[in-house]
Amino acid sequence: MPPAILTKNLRREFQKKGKTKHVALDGVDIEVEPGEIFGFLGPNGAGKTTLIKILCTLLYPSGGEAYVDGLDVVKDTREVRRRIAIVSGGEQSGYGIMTVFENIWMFSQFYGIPSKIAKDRIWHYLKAFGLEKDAHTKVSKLSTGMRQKMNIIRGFVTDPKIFFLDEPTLGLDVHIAREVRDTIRNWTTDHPDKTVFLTTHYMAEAEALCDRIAIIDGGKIVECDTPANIREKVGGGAVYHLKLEPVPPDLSFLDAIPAVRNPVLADANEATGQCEVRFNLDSDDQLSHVLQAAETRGFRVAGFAKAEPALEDLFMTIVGRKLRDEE
Amino acid sequence: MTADDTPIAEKPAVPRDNLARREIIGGLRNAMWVGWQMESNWTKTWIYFLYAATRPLALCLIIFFIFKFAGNRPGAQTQFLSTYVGNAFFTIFIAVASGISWVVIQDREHYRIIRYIYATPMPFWIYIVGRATVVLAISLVSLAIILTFGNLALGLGAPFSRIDWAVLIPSTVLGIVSAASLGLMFAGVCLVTARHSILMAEGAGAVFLLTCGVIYPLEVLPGWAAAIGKVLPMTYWIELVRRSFGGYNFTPTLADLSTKGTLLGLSVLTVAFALLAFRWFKFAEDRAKKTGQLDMTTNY
Amino acid sequence: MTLTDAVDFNRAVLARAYVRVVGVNREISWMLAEIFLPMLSVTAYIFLYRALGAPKMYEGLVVLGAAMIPFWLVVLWSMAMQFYWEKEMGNLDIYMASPTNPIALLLGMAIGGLVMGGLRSFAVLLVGLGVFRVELSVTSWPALVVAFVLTLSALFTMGMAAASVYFVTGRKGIKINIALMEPIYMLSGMFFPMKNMGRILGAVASIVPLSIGLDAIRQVTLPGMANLEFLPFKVELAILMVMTVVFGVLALKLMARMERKGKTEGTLTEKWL
Repeated sequence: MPPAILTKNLRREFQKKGKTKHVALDGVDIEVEPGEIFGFLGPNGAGKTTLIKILCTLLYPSGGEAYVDGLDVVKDTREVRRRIAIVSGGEQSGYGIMTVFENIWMFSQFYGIPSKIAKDRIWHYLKAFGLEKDAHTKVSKLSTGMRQKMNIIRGFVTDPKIFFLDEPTLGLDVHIAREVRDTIRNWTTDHPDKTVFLTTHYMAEAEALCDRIAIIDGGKIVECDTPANIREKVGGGAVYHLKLEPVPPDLSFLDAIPAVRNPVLADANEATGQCEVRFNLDSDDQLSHVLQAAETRGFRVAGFAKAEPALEDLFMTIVGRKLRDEE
Repeated sequence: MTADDTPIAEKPAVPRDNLARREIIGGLRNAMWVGWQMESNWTKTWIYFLYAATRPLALCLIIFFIFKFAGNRPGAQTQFLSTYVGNAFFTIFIAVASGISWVVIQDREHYRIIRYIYATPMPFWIYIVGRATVVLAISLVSLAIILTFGNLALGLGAPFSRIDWAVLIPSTVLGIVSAASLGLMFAGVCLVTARHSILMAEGAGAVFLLTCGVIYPLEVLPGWAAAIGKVLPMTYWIELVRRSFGGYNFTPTLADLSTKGTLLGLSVLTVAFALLAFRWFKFAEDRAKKTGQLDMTTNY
Repeated sequence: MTLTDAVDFNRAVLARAYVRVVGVNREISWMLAEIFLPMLSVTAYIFLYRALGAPKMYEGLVVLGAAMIPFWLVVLWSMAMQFYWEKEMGNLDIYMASPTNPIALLLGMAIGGLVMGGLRSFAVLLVGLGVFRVELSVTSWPALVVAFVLTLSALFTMGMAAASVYFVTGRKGIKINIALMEPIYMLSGMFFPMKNMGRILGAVASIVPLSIGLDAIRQVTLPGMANLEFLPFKVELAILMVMTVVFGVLALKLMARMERKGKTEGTLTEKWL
């Protein structure tokens, strides 16, 4: 079975008249297996949407190769399109004057799904999303969350082999975002052969949903692995949160302790005179050295906490480190 | 208590009136800038003005060909002048009226910024007026092109040196205000209806084309239609414009009115029209807010 | 194209048409906007002919011209410009990422638009015949049907070719479309016989299928057109046929080419161009 998604040295450049060339994708190599939920993370402008557009046949690459379900996205456009669906976050697609049901039905017809089958599927997913009673509500009357649920149903109804979700929970409240994530997870549980390619800049979302994650920054993949392995690779260890006062001008007092990695000064509050210092340590044994160093420099430790590193911390570490490397 | 002891709340940084004036001028200026960018920044300025003149020019050519086809009788040249000039100025009327209502549809359905414009402290009508000013400026340039083309290529016989500016300028100012009022009414309609209402502005312009004696004398119309024309400011504007170009006695029933009297009548009707437009727009705006239609999208 | 492809194509056409037809019925105010009000400007040109003391037949010219214009407007607004609106709304991404043929979407839009255009056209004829008592006398119904169908096919294929422009452009395209509205009214001889424009301008106007089509339709419906026709009826039919084929091929080629160009330049789904 071919990989669900495969890219080899994929490049995409944009250049407008009289403007400098912008490299959106700079030699991207990824391989996504069928049945995977693959997360694609990166800050704004990192190249996430560009990659999705190429994989969904909406944009040509400037170089390299891209395959979806073993098909070349440039040459086998129509066949690729039969196998995919795309839903973007914050999108306003659909016709405001039509009902939820009519909108989804119309899009299903563009995939050649017989009307009867399409209608059964629409009802099924409307029920699953709790939108059944709004089936005949005009789209213009829907809230943002309801509208996004409708968009995701539009994707499900076409029964894609590979489902592209471009920031699907953008602008949704916590409750609806969780509902959306649950539904995506349930869908993949019910259909283990289906692949989901998800771009997001919500780390928690990637962590909660994805089997594997690629992190992109400046058009390059800087990390690609399971969330657990990324944690391990990046330096693992727990994250320590130390509340200090007064706010130190810099973190040079930690330089002398080699066990401290990735120290970050955060949440400095001029009013309270407190700040939080976050860093990684391999073991608790090293902590006494840190506390001692702080007290020697005249800082009072007002609080302390230890946590497993969240993907967000890892992301900051990876992207931050890369940026420093470039400098 | 010294001046320094005055509580901040009691010490406005800028006098209220000045602030309001500054807001209005700033709002107008910004709206005009936005309007100009939206209209024209897709091409070079000279190409844009050619583009802007194309539509009205085509309408005037329609008149020319109709006269060429069916206007072979004595006095046809004077009639052509009056019809051509009436039609040319009517293009300003349509541009301003439909341009204003287009603002609502464009900002609501296309750029989807209407909610943000409404959320600024600047009243929406100022924004609309600013945008309309750009449309007006463009249509005035088009008008100059149409009249020049008429004189040079179509034998219009209306050199600018013979125009009675003392009649043309005030009547045109009033005519533009009445066109803007009509545009505001359409904008109100657009606020509470779907996208296609933009066609209503152009379509409703036809009511004025039909009843205001723009391209023919009022006497051709059935009595009831002529009666409608006589209470619309457009009729008197076009009549005055014709007179300023030397086209007297086009509409016999208006020929008895003195130029001053016609100007006065136009002023009264324009004020009435403007007041009505404001009332209606406020009503539609309130309704759109009540029903949640202010930022709806209705494409289909 | 296989049978399955043809069925899928048909499905897409009907689905897109359904949305348009149902959509307009949901907003009854369109009747006022699109039928009643535009009819008034037609009336104005009839009164202009009356003011000029023109023969009654000239009023028939106006009515027929006005009855055909809605189909031009369908092509302009509901086909040529529709991809622009879809792009701005965010629908074009989804359309283009689906396996459906863009031509099917355009046809769906056109068929939906035909319902609106047809109603408006019918209303114009009704007012022309009922209120203004214009005299139309069809010399051959089959000839009229052939002329009408060929005019529509040439117009629609032209609309498809024009729509493809929006894969690479945005406002520039829509401005050109808007700028074409009144010039086409003029060039099509909506309010006067095409012959009146002279041979050179007439030849330029012939590029627009509406001009030739309208002239052909007038020849078989208006008594008194004998000396006013631009070209013989059969020649006009032949031109319309050629136009349908040429614009059809052009539409297919342009659609594919512009999609490629749009995907290369990144403009296919870029909003607010």
